[in-house]
Amino acid sequence: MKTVSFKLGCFALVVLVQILVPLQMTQTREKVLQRGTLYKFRANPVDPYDAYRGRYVSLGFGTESIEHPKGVQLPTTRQEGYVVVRPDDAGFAVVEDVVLQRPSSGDYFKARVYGGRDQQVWMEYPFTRFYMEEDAAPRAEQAYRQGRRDNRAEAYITVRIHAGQAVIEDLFVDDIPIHEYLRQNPDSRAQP
Amino acid sequence: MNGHHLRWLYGELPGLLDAGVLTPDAAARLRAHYGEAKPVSRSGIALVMFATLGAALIGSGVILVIAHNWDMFSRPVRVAIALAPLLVGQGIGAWVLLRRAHSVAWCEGVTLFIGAGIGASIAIVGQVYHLPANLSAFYLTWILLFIPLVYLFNSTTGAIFYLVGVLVWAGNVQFGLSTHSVLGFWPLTLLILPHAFFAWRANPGGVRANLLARALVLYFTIGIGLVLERAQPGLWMVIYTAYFAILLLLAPAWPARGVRNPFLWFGCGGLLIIALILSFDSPWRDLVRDRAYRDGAFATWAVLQDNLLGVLAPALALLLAWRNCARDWIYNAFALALPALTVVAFAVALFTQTDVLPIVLMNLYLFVSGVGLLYTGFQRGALAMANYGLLSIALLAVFRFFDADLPILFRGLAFILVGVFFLVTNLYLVRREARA
Repeated sequence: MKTVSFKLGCFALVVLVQILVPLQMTQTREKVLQRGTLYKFRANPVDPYDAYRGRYVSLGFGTESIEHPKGVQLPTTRQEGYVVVRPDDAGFAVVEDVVLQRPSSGDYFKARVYGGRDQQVWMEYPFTRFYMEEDAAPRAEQAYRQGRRDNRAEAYITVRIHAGQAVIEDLFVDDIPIHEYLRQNPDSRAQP
Repeated sequence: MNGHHLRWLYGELPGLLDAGVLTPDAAARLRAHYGEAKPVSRSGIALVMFATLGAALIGSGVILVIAHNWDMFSRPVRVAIALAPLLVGQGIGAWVLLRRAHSVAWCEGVTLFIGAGIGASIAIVGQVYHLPANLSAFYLTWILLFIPLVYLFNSTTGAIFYLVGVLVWAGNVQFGLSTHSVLGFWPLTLLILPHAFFAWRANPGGVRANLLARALVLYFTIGIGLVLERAQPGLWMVIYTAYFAILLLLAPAWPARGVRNPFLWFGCGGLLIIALILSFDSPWRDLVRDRAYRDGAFATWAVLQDNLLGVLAPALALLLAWRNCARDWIYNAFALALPALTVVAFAVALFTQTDVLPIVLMNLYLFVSGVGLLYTGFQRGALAMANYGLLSIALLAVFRFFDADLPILFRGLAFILVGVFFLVTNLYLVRREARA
């Protein structure tokens, strides 16, 4: 009986940790979504698949590198750094600097960074995936492509940034949230 | 001794008593020593297999159902959905501990189900908040939250699931875009070894111990390849040959014989495959040209790990051979020959910058060891050993024929010759065994 009680006690502890870990992940992101500053990032969506998390829209930004101030060189191996941003007039994020030490003020988020040739610093943004329902993700990509052909669609994501964390809020095509856009454009079908 | 062997022994006892080989007193002492022969229930094993398979399938299904991404629900609802399978699994787990703690099927099944629930809950939180694909962090969190279940439910399939998880994590760290250190492989491995030790101590010839031995041998074979930093070209040859020699030297201590002994067939197979690889020029070319396998900086601690393994693995092989030396010197010599030769060839290639001598040495090794084992196999009437020797020679011949620029007709004839030699030798051995 003692062994059973001991095992149950240990199991209760394990259960607690197993639940706390995903809850803590949730809590951290919710805090960022509630308190963070809103930024827009221009994005080029394409639609791939993750075996564990399902279908998503992969986001490319085209702004993953900046010219670093002269005299500062980052090693070519990836390491944790901070991307300092400020908003432009339209609310889009402008990367101001990439630093290895946590900045004391301003808006910044953690990212993997590494140095390139010609004083370039490369960043791997921590928000490259926008998960959607299985049939919606290819439609979102298709809608974006169609819009690009018509020279009108611009896609961007809204990201909340707070205390070094960045969490995606929504994906917009033509200034319309993607789910709303797909409702308004039911004909945008995924190409086989 | 496992139940199968015990039942055979107990079945023989009446005959041995009648023939006067054993006294009734000796038979009673045998029974007292080995104890009751527990019946092996085939339906019980089937139940465990089906419970494990069922739990694995349901768990995978849960991950896929959740991965569907239920856009219509709010974030908190989706997080609740993510946690639901985990909570259900944990509820069943508590019930199993209270009411079915001795049921292997329940324990194995619920461990895998909770394991799938853990993976699903972390993955879905990542999906809800659009987290990037930080796979190494995902796998590490998953296996660390899972490992206590292996001990709480004494689950061997759980242990194997964990081992696969560590390998996937290590592969992701080494070849993916991760900031983790692959050196974590060793402490992660240490976490599972007590389970394997307890299983072995409880019943050295049992199903659990056998499964875990096979899994661990395979795990280290793959794992070593994943964790090596490969800053020093060619060091892997020394480490791998020594590793397979260690397996071979551990084999006599394992209760099972022949193909049922994973140390034996992994050790023999590994040594043969590595020797064949080293008989080509490409592994030595990198070493001679001093070309590292990867560009860029190497992690200092990982380089130290490689160097330590390069020293410790041959040292351990030597130690084991020294402890085994009274048993069978030919066996020990065969186990140690390749690592010793590889160390010499490695040093020659490194210091003289020539790959000719190492290649010649390796080809000679394959031929001499093949002939030696064939001869010893003949002498001892050991069919497996003779065939292993024959296989070494045959594979050496086949690969050299592929290598050399010889006419097709000549190659064809050579293949026929090797095949006939194989058949005749086996026929002779089988007939000799039958006569004996």
